Amino acid sequence: MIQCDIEARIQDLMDGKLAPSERNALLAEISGNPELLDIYLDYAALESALTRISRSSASHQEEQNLVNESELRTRRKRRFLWPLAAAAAVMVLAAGTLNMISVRRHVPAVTYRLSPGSVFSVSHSMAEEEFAPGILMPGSRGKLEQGTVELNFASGVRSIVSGPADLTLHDGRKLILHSGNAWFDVPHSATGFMVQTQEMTVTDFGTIFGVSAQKGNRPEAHVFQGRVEVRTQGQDFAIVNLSAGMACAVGPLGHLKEIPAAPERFFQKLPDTLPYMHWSFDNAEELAAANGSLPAIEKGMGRMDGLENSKAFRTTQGRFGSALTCTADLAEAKCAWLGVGGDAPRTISHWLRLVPGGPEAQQIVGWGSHALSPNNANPAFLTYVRRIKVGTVAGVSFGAYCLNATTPIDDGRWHHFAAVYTGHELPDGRPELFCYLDGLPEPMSYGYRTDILSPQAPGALSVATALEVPGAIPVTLFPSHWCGDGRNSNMPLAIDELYIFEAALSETQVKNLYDKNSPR
Amino acid sequence: MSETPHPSPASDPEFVSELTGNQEVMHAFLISMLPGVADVDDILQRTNLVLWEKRSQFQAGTSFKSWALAVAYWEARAWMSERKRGDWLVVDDELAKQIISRIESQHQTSANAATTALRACLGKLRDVDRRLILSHHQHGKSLKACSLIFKRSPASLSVTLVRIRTALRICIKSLDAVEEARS
Repeated sequence: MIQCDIEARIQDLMDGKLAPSERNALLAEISGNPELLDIYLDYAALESALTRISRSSASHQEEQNLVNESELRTRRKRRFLWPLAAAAAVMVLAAGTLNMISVRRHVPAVTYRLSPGSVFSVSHSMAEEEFAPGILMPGSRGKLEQGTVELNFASGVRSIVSGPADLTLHDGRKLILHSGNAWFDVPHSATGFMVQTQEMTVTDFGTIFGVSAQKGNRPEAHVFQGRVEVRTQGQDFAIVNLSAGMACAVGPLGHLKEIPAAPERFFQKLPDTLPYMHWSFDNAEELAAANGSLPAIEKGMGRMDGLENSKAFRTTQGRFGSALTCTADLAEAKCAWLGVGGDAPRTISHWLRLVPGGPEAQQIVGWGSHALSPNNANPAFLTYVRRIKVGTVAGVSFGAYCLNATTPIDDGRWHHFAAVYTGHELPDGRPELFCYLDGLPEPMSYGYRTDILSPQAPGALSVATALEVPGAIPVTLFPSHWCGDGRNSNMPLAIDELYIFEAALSETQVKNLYDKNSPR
Repeated sequence: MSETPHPSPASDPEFVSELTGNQEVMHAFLISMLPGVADVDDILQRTNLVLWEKRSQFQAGTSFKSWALAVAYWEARAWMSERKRGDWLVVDDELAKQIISRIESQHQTSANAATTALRACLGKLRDVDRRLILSHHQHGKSLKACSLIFKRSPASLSVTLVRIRTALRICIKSLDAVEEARS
């Protein structure tokens, strides 16, 4: 009975429910009594273990993993083996060989799952072994062409990687991120977890952080909770400790530069769609608002500033709900989202309604830089309409390289246009692009700025949308005085259901957008 | 004259292995030092950071656990000092010494074993009890939140939680005894 009372009081102490005088009296009792000290430490260990299990239960349905007593023995044996196996793995790798057969059964695997529409291919360094789908083992390399993948490490580390990305699992405590954006939630039990890019290594101290290693951009580390150490590679390495709310980027000379933390760049949970932003223009009160699955939405970065309270724009009857129509004033609207960069796959989809005539050309939506040069000929991405002999047609441009549709759409009716860049090159070096008009593939005629491009030169047509360079614009509706735009007013047109996907949609998905205003 | 061989500094992989292997021990130790304090996780992070920054001082072959506990102890003291929370100095130096001594004498992984054993013991609980004890921790030990979820009075839940935790401690001890007898 007395021990029951003591145990209840110790539990109250752990819960912070005792008054200072009661607390001190209890601890004085414990201090002089080894048996009570054991009980006290039992409850401290129980408290610690309950904290860990309840956390992992919240995010990983840990309750499903409760084991029976016989399994307990096996797990204990594995736990004793793990440090030995890890050390052995490090030694084997240090010897420059991938022969890890003797240790790999003891090295924790990573399981993964994908969001709908994601394209993820995995190759294993141990080709003779068969691995179950959804598993990464040390040495496994995963290439995420588009979409998002959630990685769950045996240590409790959880990561959301958004494509395009290329990664290699070094072991359960280290991920090599060749390219891509990745967010990490590392529990205390996995402290020391490392993420390595070509230019830097991020070492965790029980935190939530993100690493960005996108092609063509400087690598970055962002900390949202706790602390990490960032160390650049090479002999003249730089090193910095970052705490919550801090971020840094590796400069061109290998130095580390502090930058604003940008949580909107990282998915923190697996979305149930491909990443996208959508402007429906349905709500006159919230004309500028966007919806979608990109994390930047939550930060309000999809809001099109310039649409509301402007005499240049008003709402009209759309193809689905209301649409946005332009008056004859020259105006544009832009959001804070920078758009899809580099050679990442992307899709622009929108409805347009035009009447015959009007200015020669107008950009519809675009982003990036339009400072064109032979060395950087395609740093932009935009859709446009242009008047040609047969009438006004839609088109898409990468900068100095563009494609015109062949069917005129200036008939006063709604037409759906979608431009899909796959992120791949055709055998002749041109970017692989599919365009659709009213849900069907549309023949396109190719063109390029002969003053800039010499398409015979290797790589001359490479897509490299530049997001963070001087002169680059974020996602902008009807961008004016950009891309050689000499308009004095907006074309009298209407636009509805603008979607931008960070993915290449299939023909079926585009047809679904045409039919149902949804890719699914 | 022959030189006495010095222990060499641990390599980063060895150090990380020690650091990760002792997280549960350090967490439990900090809870015992600061019972009822919600900032234990932060103090553990600070301890990890200090250990990492001073990793070159750790000699392979020496007791990482003793070193880590000493650093954790001073980080706990520093935390209390920063907050001028003398009233939180609930564990005096004498008791702290006893705690450190007791934990150091335990098997290297005994605190880690608590988590594994706890999983097994949670599996023996009634579903409602298991949900309650996990929910209590997930909701920051708020009896009010649990009261809303489980539609029971806070006083009733408090009694039940004491019973569950007492049962879990006994269960873990019995599993440990079985394990020791088998090994």
